[in-house]
Amino acid sequence: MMTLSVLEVNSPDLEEVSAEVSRQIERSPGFFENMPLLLHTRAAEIDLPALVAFLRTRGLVPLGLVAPSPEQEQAAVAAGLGVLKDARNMRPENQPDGDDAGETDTEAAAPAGGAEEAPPPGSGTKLVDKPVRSGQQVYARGGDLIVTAPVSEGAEVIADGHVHIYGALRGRAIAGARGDSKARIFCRKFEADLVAVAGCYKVADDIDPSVRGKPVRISLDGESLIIDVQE
Amino acid sequence: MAKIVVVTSGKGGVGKTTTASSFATGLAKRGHKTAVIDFDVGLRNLDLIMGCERRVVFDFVNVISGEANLKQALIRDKRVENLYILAASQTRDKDALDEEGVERVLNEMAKDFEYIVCDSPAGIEKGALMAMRFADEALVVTNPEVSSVRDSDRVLGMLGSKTKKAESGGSVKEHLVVTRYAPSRVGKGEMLSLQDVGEILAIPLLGVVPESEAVLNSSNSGMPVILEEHSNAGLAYEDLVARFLGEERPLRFVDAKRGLFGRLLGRH
Ligand SMILES: Nc1ncnc2c1ncn2[C@@H]1O[C@H](COP(=O)(O)OP(=O)(O)OP(=O)(O)O)[C@@H](O)[C@H]1O
Ligand SMILES: [Mg+2]
Repeated sequence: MMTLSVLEVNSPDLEEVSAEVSRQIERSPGFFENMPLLLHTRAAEIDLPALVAFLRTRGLVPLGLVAPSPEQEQAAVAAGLGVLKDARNMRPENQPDGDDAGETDTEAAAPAGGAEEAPPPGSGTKLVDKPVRSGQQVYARGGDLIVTAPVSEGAEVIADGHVHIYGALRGRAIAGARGDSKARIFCRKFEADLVAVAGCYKVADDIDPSVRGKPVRISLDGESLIIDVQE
Repeated sequence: MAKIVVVTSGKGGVGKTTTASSFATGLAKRGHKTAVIDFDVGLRNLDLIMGCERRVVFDFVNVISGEANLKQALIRDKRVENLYILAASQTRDKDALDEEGVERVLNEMAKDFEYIVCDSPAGIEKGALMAMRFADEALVVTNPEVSSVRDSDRVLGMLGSKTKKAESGGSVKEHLVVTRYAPSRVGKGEMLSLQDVGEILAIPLLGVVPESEAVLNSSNSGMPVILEEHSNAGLAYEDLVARFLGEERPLRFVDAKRGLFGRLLGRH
């Protein structure tokens, strides 16, 4: 089964959209590199060729426009995009449902939240057995991430599935990076800067100090992140 | 073939040059033919601490650019046999350290020396990258405080990804060196403990050098502190070199001296 990310463009203002996309990319450098992408927009007036050109300069690979209006369809063809008449056909069956098939708009200020996609089932797990150092980023695309060493302050670990850390988590951990709200984060010693599941995040300041230093499991319950201590 | 050892840290002023000079001197004292190279182009500190600043004719950059050969540029230490210094240029900038040139010079030196110690500049830019680029082993110098530890962590990430060793599927052997350690301040919670530092960086500890006035005094007189055989810092470097060469030595100077008040108040 193939999965593709959909960029939801809700503003006709190209500058605003570009700024938002750039923000997302800078937040997770490397994550979006060469990522194939479908576009979906209700903003009929957006300058599609300019948007496509911009996305390409940022290393994204826009492929087509989903469910366009007739005018958009012409613009898409002119901009060298394919046209997908019905977005629903693109969804894998096990897509976590809920809020209108999990559309994420470009306004969602969550790390790596600019695109959405369900991880393909049973795909590869990534194993890292060295410390993830400050300034480094590890991303398990389409699967789980297991780190058997500490994750430093200033480092970032990301998985489309679960994140397991058999050591201290001092940096950032992001599970369900493409929208899987059932993804979880586990770590032996919780001292994180930030944790996020399916775009829903908490920074260190918002986390109950009593869980610091403890082994924890982090999961998403509706819209809120639950941090359970596991002694 | 020489072993190339980089002395690096990320953060500035933590004791890299102090460590590189004493480490190289210690290796040479034990009979290993050793060269120490100053990669801090534009600043030039190593030759001052080694006390040879008045004998510098040609420097590392001159050799890289072919204006001088190694024989002309290597300065022989007057006190310790088997010890040579390659000074940094004061008039050039870090762009003079082109990768091919650095590699060529290191390869040529590697035929003749047992150890090549590279004193890295601070930061994570070109100079620091070139100093670690061809390293087999690394001494990561850290002070027991949060910003220094974090920068060292960053540098460890670079050692694991930006070195020739890492790129060819191997790894640089990493050693932790904690310097300017003041046990009494750790006791008061003003500094991180050895345990904290070790836990965050998660690499083997090679040595702990106490905060010591002897370091400033000896560098002012152009002498690596390891030659100051009655100073705690000198002895700590002595231990560090021994451990590097495979000897077992217990840690010293890591516990606070208990003053009368400390004891009366039941501290520690
Ligand atoms: N163990 C120590 N006790 C007391 N002072 C020390 C100690 N180690 C280093 N110093 C002092 O700290 C200062 C910086 O040391 P040094 O030049 O070795 O650091 P560096 O990491 O090489 O700096 P830079 O990043 O500028 O190259 C010097 O003044 C030195 O005397
Ligand atoms: Mg220095």
